[in-house]
Amino acid sequence: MTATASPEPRPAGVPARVWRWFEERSGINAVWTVFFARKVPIGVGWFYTLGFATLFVFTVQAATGIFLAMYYSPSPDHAYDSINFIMYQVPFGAVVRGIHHWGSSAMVVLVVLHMATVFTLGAYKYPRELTWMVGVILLILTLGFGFTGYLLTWDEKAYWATVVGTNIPGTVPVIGQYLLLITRGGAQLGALTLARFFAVHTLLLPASLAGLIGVHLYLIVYHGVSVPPALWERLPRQARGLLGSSQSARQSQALHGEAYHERYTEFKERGHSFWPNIIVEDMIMAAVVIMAILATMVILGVPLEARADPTNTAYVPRPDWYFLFLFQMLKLFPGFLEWFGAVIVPGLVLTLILLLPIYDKSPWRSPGRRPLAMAAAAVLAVAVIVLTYFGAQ
Amino acid sequence: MQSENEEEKQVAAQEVTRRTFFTYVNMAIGAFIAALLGIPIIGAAILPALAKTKGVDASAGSISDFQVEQPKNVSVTITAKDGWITSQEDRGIWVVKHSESDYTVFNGRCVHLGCAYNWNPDRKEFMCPCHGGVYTINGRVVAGPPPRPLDTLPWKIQQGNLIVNYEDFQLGIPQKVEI
Repeated sequence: MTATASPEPRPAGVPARVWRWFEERSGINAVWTVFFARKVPIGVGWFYTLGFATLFVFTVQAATGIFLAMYYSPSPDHAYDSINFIMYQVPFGAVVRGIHHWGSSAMVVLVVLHMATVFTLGAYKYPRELTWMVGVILLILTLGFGFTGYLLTWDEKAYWATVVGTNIPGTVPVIGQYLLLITRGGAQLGALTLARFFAVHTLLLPASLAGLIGVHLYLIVYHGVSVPPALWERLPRQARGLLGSSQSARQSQALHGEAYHERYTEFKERGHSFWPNIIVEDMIMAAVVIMAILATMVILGVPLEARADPTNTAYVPRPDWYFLFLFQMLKLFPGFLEWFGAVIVPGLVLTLILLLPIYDKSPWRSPGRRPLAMAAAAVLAVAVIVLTYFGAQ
Repeated sequence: MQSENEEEKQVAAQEVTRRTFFTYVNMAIGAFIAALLGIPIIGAAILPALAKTKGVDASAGSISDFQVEQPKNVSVTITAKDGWITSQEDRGIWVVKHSESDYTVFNGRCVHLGCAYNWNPDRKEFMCPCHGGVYTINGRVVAGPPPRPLDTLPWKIQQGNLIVNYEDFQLGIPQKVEI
């Protein structure tokens, strides 16, 4: 042992030394370990890629949005011309705008699918209640992006859908008129509205969303992703020993604190590392999503209607497809109750969704054991789909 | 004992290959996505900025307005395209008439740093007031810092009018290069 002299350690190369300098001062390895080298519990599958896909589309929207902003003028006398410039003068301009346009639809689809999955798998339950609530706020911000985004093209659809959209808060009794004025930046929909929507769309919302995504991701990494209910509710051998055979399966579902973490760790230790194993599915999903966005753009084109004309009496305004349910619901309420249908009902539903983990006390996670929750969600889904269908007619 | 160790080693080796494989797959997909997005985005950001501006035709007035070998300063109105904004802008040029059918037209900016220069009828030279650049009637540099002769512009005669193809060039360098 002592006889064998170890060879002289080779001096580290420049890249290694630069890296070590950087690592010692930034602690980047620790960050990498926490976010990427973490273990993911067994049983996660393709359903678990939707959150990553949503994050991916957000970065796509941010990237395309930044470069669209280089050629965009948020002023009624130039906005439409600048969009035309992007579409016909800037090389790849139509592609960048197409990705951004269809990316917004993809974002809404993915957020809703991600939410539906988390709901169905009961992943919003202890200890992930806060993750869910932050997620619901992210949904609201995503819809805010959609609403503020489509005014910016200043075409007929942009103008008239926003006229109607901004009139909705105006129907609220007492404070409605103030809400309308604040939303528009004045009585008329014009230069002040466009500049305001541009600021909200490109500065306020991205900053808010990025911050909340940070919180959302922190919570996901802090708690680890949930174990699928089918596995979680089937007691692992170790957990069975831990709990004792006399305890019922139901009790095991209500695990909190120490007991929960011990059980979760069992699953986690048997899982794989996020990098490079689990993330492969996420990456494949991201590639599929971007190809789907590009395919939609090629098939359906990049819509741009005629320049906004405030004197046009023939135009029938229709919002983007993800607001059609709201558009259709307004028709169901008589004039004096419009605010109830347009503001109170959606507000109530959103509040119910937001506070779901607070009042949903069922210890079960698998959808089969939560008939009431699943039925309520199905009613909501059917209502939105039916309203959207009739709104599109 | 020994065989168990061997087995463990084998499993560990397999795990390493698996990880390496996944790492390459991730990098490949990442590169694919980056190319799909990066090419249009970077292209859209950079290419329009590098596009050469083209000269635009503008009328310098009737050919009868000019006298032979007497340079005349003319303000031409060009239709300038600035992104999505189209506007009418005035630009200065110097027209030197050699005969009824032969002209020399100079861009009105000194090629040194872009000042407007003047014709001195006594010395029969173009003189730039900024940094003392002096040119002959043919645009050749006689004195001062200008790195090249005055920039000539293409012209043609249409229905008795002198039509100039106005264009600006990079300043301060020995070559006449379009912007």
